[in-house]
Amino acid sequence: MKIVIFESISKIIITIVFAYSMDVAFREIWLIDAFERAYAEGRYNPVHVELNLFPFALCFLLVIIYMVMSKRLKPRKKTDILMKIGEFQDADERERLITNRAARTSYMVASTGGVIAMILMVFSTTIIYRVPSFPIYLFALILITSAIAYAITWCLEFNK
Amino acid sequence: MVIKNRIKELRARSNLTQKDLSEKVGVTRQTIIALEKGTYVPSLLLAMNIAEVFQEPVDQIFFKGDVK
Repeated sequence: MKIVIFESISKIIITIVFAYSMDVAFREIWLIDAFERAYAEGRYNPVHVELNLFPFALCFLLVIIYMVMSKRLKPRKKTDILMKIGEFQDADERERLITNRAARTSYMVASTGGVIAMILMVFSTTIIYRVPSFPIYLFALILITSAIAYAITWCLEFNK
Repeated sequence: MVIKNRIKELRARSNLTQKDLSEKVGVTRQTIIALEKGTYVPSLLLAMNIAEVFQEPVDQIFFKGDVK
């Protein structure tokens, strides 16, 4: 169970940092886009673009730490490659069953989250000009919610 | 209708710990705990492996029982 909790928390942290990195990059691209749109209309709108690499470096570092710790936590045995990475567990038939149920819950949450995100996007015109990277965070939120759903289902089923 | 079992009783009779049994049948200790609690119904293969360890027929270890 501790492996699933570790994997899920790591995934959530990495998703948040990655979303922030994308936000940082997107804000700068948004500025370049503003410059190009103005330029196409014959106006000269100087912008100051500066990409902060710290979030990317932090994300990369977190992924490395996560990979090392994940490899140390998991038992070494021949298994399906999909079971070796991430929060999937298959130490025995019961764990495979629990993983199956947790993955189903996670899939349902992600599907429902996707539909809700689409509806939210329709009504996000006012937010998108204030927070241009709103869709990035929305997408990250779907991933985080499905990871939480997976971890909760796994732990509940495991402790039954 | 639920599947009940005599694993706890047979394990005690054979002086096996949950860990010993889990290693003999190739599952985790948590699975043995779940089996003894009756919250997990094993696959036919696992049931046969357990029967082999206790030298008893499968139907003498696992049987149908009514829900309380």
